[in-house]
Amino acid sequence: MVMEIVSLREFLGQVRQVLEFAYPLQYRITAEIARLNIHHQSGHCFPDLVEKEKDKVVAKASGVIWKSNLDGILKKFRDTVGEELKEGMKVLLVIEVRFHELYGLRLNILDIDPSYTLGEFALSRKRILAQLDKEGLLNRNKQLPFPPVPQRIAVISSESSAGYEDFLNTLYNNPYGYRFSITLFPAYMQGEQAEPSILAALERCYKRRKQYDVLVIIRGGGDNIDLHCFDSYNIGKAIASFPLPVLSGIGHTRDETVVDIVAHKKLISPTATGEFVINRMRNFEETLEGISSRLVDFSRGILTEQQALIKEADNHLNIFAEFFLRKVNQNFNSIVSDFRTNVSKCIASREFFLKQMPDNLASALRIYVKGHINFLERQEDRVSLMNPVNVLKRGYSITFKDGKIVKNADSLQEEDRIETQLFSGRIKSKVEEIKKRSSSGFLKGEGDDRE
Amino acid sequence: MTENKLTYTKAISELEEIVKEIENEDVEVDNLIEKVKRASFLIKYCKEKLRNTETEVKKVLSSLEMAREEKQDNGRPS
Repeated sequence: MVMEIVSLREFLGQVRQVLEFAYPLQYRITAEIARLNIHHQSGHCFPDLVEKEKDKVVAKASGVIWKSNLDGILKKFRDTVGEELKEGMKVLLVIEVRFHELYGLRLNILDIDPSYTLGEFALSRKRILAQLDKEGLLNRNKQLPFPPVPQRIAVISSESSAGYEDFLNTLYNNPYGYRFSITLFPAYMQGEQAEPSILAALERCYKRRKQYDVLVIIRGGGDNIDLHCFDSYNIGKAIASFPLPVLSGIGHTRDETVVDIVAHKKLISPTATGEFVINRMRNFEETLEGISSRLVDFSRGILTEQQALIKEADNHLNIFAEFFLRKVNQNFNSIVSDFRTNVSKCIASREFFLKQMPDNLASALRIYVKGHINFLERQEDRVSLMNPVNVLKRGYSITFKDGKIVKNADSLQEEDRIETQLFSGRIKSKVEEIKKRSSSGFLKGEGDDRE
Repeated sequence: MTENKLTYTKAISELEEIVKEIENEDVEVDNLIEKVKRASFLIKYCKEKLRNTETEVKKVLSSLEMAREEKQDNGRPS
């Protein structure tokens, strides 16, 4: 088989026919936009499409969006995704395969499905969040205690943005007269420079972190809502691990960005962020007022109570004192009257005693004298009874020997001379016989008395 | 200013302590006046601080300081 020789143009023309024959339909492919390449003169767009595997390009093709399609595609993308179509984004393309003898293979982009990119964003955000979670950073900023009075505020925003303006107006015109100290760390909040610029602002703020209570991130506002940088891993990490609580005031209605999620609190707009701060101050002041009124109430209560106690004590004291005095008085009176009674009783008894005295004395004397007289009389009787004369008179006699009274016959011997005294007269005699042991009982008592 | 280190957080916790003491009647009547005086000082201090112009002064100082730091940063070879 002999090969026909054709020119390059003819050959590429055949390739085009084959290709277009083989791929006659519209196809849906996914790719990353490496470069957008909008041709300003013509208004056409010639994006470079790539596919990467671990950051390495493994496929590459040129695309084209004709001017007639471009505006519609960009608008739809912006409206759905909330961002401009730009380089680095992953997109789902509706394409036709075109081949041109001069330009080679070219994918004619008829449409871009923005929901795919949105999903990619969500996935990417999810991956970033998962990574931050793994690093233990996801809730770190949320765990910081939020100051009761966020008065010294560091702001990362762009100076001229409407959002920053709103934030300042809200704070400065607060109805309570609270004062704020606001320091702006300016940064680009959108576009290519946004991420490094925000990171640099965070770094500057970090150096001066002790001078602030809270960090607020306010985004520009306006129509152009480019939030891509707020889904950045680096910014997410920097905010999550920031030592001050971060308020995210990126006004948007889209899904929460990474910054929104890792921040201490997400507010829906710069104004809402300002209001949050003011409310926080207001709450603090209300706490103060609550404490103040509790203090007043309780102090007043304690004072009232104490006053009541004092009054009561005073009353008690009065009553008691009165009672006591009365009692003392009574006691005194009764003591006095008792004393008086006792004294008069005492006196009376003495008087009686004294009155009785002479009589008593007299009768005592009488009794005494009588007693003595009786005694004397008795003694007299006894004495007279003992007088030997009286004994002799009754017939007894007393025997003497040599002038001595003989009471015992043993003291005599026969032939002794004895004298006997009678009541009347004396006789002298001689002892003839001695009878020993001739005691006579009737003399016994007389003998005892005489001894 | 002797109360320079007094922060809102410290003030509020001290206040709560005082109120608790008074409410639990842990305070002798003799000390009550001292406690109430201290509490009212803290309340007044906080309320004034919420609105005081000192923060304005600090703000100015802080922006001056920052401008200077930035100059230094820029002057440093990177």
